[in-house]
Order: sequence, then C-alpha cells, then structure tokens
Amino acid sequence: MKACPDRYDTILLAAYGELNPEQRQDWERHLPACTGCSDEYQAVLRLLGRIKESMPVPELSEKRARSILWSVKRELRKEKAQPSWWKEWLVRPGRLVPALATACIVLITFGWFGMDLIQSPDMDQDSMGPSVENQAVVRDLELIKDIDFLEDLDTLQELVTVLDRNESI
Amino acid sequence: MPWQHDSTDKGLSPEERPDPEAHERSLKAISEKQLSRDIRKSLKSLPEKQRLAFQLKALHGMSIQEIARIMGTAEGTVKSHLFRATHFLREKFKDWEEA
Repeated sequence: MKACPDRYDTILLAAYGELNPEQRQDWERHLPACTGCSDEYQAVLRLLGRIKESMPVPELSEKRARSILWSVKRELRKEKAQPSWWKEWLVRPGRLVPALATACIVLITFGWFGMDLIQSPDMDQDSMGPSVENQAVVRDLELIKDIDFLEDLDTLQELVTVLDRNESI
Repeated sequence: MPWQHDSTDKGLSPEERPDPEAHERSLKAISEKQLSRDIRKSLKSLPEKQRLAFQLKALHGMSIQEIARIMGTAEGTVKSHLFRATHFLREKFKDWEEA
C-alpha cells in the first residue's frame, strides 16, 4: 500500500520532527488509520537512521572537548583583557625594550647637554678670567676699601689740623 | 558455497569447519560497508544546497529555522531542498529497504 500523495511532506516533516502542534495532532490521528503512510514513515525513519550510522558526526573525546573549551575560554579572557592600543603597543616585549632604551638615551643626552648649557657660562668665564659682573664687584670692593682709606685720611687730616692748631697756640 | 561443501567433509575437525554464522556476519558486514559507501556516494552526488540542508538536518539535528539562518534562505526553500534530497535518497535506497 502506498502513502497518501498529499501527505508525503507531512511524513518527511514528522520524520524530521518539524511538525507544528496542529499538524502533529492531525498526523497522529491519520497515522494509525493509514498503513501506507505508516509504512512510508517507518521507512524514512530507518533510512535516516541508516544514513546517520554511515556518516557519523565525529564525536569528541572528553579530554579533547575539555581542551577545546579551555582554549576558547582563554581566547575569550584574552579578548576581554585586551588593553588600549598604546598599552598593547608598549607592553609587547619586542617594543617595550627599544622604547625604554630610546627614552633613556634621550634623557641622558638632554641631561648631559642641558647641564653643559647651564654650566657653560661660568666655565667660559673661568677660562677667560673674571666676568664683568665679578670685575664690577671687585671694583666696588676696592672702592669701599678706598673709601675707608679716604675716611682714614680725613681722620688723619683732622688730627694734623688739630695738632697744627695746638702747636700754633 | 565452498564452506558448505567443506562442512560436509567428514575429514575436517570441528575447529577446521567454517562457522556458517561467522560467514553470515561477514557477508552482512560487507553489505553494510557497501551500503555506507553507496550512501556517501549518493550524498556527494546531491546538489550543493540540497546536500547542505540534508546534512545539517539529518546528521547535525539542526532545526529548519537554524538551517535557513545558516544558509541565508527562507525556511520554505530549506524545506524544499530537504524534501528533494530525502526523496532522492529514498528512491535510491528503496531496494535496500525492501531487501
């Protein structure tokens, strides 16, 4: 006995478990009453089972499944903890070391020449003799000494004047 | 069959006589292997979309909705591919089913 021609799609959908509740109800009512559809349905199920046996989907061992799960989790963690672009750029060992080395060289170079620039005026003065400013200071000191000397002279002069007056008296 | 002749030989010890059940088992195994080979061959001969829809449904147990999403087509189209593939395989292996 052949299956009902208008039910062939239903037979396949039933075999694939894709009938909606309404269709399933109708199918379950029809199935016991129709030998042709029932036989065809069973044949399709057997065929699908046979095909499944012939082409088994590769099963993963527990160990392999765990290792895949672990690597997927690790990748997800990595993705989550991904730093910003500059951090990523700096943190890479291949880039961090040269970057630090360059920074050190720049600091040392600028530090050296910077100190040199700060120290150079004095050093120039030392090499060329006292600076103008120092010369002025020395001159001022000499003037102060002269003033003291002059003041001493004034005192002496006053003494001489007093002595002369006394002598004249 | 040679083993049938051998089994009737009185000169053979019971260990030497071929086991008819073992022979049947090996015949079954050969036919199973042949069938599996034929199934694989038939699946390969299916058009690409039909084969994909069929494999995703029958081997991986996906729903038609999921297959439609994967294939980027309408559910009706997936059903059509699936029905055609199943019908083709059903016709191809009708003899095996009847045997």
